[in-house]
Amino acid sequence: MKTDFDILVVGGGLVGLTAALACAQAGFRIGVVDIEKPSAQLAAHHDGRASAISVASFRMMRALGVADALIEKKVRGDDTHAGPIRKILVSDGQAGATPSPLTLFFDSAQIADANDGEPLGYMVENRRMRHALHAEAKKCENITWIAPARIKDIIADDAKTTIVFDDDKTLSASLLVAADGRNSFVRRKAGIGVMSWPCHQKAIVTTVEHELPHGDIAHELFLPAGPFAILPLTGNRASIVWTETPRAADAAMALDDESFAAELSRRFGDFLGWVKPIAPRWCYPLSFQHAKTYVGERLVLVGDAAHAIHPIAGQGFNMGMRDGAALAEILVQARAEGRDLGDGFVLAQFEAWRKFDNTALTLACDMFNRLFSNNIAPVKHARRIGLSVVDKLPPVRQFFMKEASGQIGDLPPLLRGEAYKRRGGSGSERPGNIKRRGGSGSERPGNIKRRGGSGSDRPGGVVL
Amino acid sequence: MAVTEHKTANHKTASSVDPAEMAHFAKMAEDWWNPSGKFKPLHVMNGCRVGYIKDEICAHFRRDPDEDMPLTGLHILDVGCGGGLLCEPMVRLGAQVTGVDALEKNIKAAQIHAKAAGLVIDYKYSSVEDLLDSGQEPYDVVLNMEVLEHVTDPGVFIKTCAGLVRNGGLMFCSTINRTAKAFTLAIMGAEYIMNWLPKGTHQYAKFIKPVEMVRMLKDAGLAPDEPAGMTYNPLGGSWKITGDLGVNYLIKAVNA
Ligand SMILES: Cc1cc2nc3c(=O)[nH]c(=O)nc-3n(C[C@H](O)[C@H](O)[C@H](O)COP(=O)(O)OP(=O)(O)OC[C@H]3O[C@@H](n4cnc5c(N)ncnc54)[C@H](O)[C@@H]3O)c2cc1C
Repeated sequence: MKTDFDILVVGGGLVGLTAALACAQAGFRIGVVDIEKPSAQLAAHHDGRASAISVASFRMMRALGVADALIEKKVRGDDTHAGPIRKILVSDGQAGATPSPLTLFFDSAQIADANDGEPLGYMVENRRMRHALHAEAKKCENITWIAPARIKDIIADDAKTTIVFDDDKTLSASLLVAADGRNSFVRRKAGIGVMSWPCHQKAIVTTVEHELPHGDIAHELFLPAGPFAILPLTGNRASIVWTETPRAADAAMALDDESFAAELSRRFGDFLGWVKPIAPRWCYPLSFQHAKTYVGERLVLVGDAAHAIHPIAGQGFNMGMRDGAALAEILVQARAEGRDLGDGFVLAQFEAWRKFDNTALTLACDMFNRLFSNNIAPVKHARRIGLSVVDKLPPVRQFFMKEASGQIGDLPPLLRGEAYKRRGGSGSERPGNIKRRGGSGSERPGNIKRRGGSGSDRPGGVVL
Repeated sequence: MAVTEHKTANHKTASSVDPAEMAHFAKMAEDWWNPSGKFKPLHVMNGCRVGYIKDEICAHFRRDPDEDMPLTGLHILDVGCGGGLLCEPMVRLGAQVTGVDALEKNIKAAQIHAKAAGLVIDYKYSSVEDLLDSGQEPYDVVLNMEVLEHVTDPGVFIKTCAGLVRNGGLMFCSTINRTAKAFTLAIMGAEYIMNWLPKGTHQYAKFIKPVEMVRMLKDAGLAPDEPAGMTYNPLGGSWKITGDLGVNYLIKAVNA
């Protein structure tokens, strides 16, 4: 059955584009549909966030050829766009008071063996990431942008899935990948419900300049209303994620620049000298949301469409990248076995591989947040003890750190930094890394072996 | 469901059609394509068998297995094709495929599915004996996967099939070994404990030892290779090719 594309990705956000690039690199014909114009997504005011990218995810960016655009020095006078995180300091505090002396300290030097001397992760501004992903996607012959475009309907049958646009034009593919974010239209259209629970918090995001160098240290300060994170960007700049109750957040958003700066400094303390906001403020309501299933008829959900979590652990985008890497690997395998890409069996493999991990992480982040976002004395006491205990036990700490940098578990090739060998549309060359079978179809690679608990690819725990 | 409901083809010889077995499979035909239904074990095993067959064919006919459609130009006959679980991947890998089954209901189910999936497959409601008698051109590859343990006389059956392999062509067979382990896993495990397969799917006496298989292939004038084991890993839920012939195994033979 000849379809217009092998895969249609709905949503050209960070996760959708990552998945599209991964699959395109493996030789699939991809269409990316977005409701917005690419130029609008690349506009400076579109997204003020910065993301902590774990080392494993960053390796994937390298394998996809995207990292070059992020770490290349002096591009049009800019400096590198990926700020390393070498240390993470987690502490319990009161607004205005100095951080509690009982802190949890992660240092990349302590897991240098597993990290090849790399930092724990990198801070990348989302807009930089978007630019890099768009540039790479543009270079890909087998990625077609369909944007701006509004989807009216999606019809799946035994041969294909068809998108009907509002002008009644149609496009077909073997598989549809929904990467259209938290309020996913595709997910709703497919009738897939979500489990969600509010966390009564909003996050204010902005970028600050500070007087003294941050030394590549990420700070996570647990204030009673929620975490306050200082994330090292390149230069003497940091991305701030300031979590508050919705009322307090709205009030802070309404402040004039001067009063806002004063409130910010009060929380910041003076350990980095003076602090001054240098970007607009963005405010994001926070909630946990998890799709009841990640798959439908010829459909998989990835990224925030499948799971939207609290930014407490900075894992949302990392989880989405893992979705993309796992999907590419499963599809490469399916093609080698002559399977239909939208086959229920293939979809079940994706769900089994990803859901366990994502569920665990979603719950862990929620518990972490609940534990820290309150001021009840015994809980406070317990968590201080908890932090110091973890800090005093090197093996426990190492485990957390390795987790944080995304190194625990059995990773799909892209997260190990192995690229699929690019091949032309005609498919004359085959991705190098799937050639794992010995002479005679020996070992069937572990596409299904990763199900279930122990061998699974677990995203990091506490990196912010 | 009674046997009479599913009229069997007009067979001149009936070595391959055991009516009791056929009635049993008829009941299952509709479920062929449900990946979590009764045929789940075949769906799970399929990747492993397809991979093995593809790689062996590519090695024999000097194809690059990493091409998109490495089997392009080859004519493959799938004997006992059931709902088309093996035919469809072979077509996607480029081959021109004929599937035969002695059960009309299977052929119907397979045709409906292939049509809906937009795949061109020549499905025939026929026995291999009739196919041979009809003067059919021999094929590049004949697949006898998971059928030998269901026919009445595997020796005769293999001979008939061998007549459908062209000179220099290949025949693949897979079946279950007649060992205590096979009995435990395939019958007790799959049928009674896991409920993977309906009870009565397999009969222990019909399982075939690898030495018997090799002998039957040689008797049919073919040159068999070493058999390869296919082992299920219950922890990971996947199959792989191993040296363990204790339960499921496959073998390739050349019509030299
Ligand atoms: C304050 C905050 C801080 C965060 N910090 C981090 C961090 O440090 N590290 C980290 O890993 N993650 C972080 N995250 C999470 C991360 O930003 C998200 O997980 C990630 O952006 C999700 O990407 P996505 O592509 O799935 O969805 P989105 O970015 O929402 O993209 C969805 C895309 O789909 C398009 N679209 C929507 N509807 C349609 C439609 N109907 N048709 C077609 N297209 C459509 C949109 O235009 C958009 O391009 C943070 C989140 C928040 C709120």
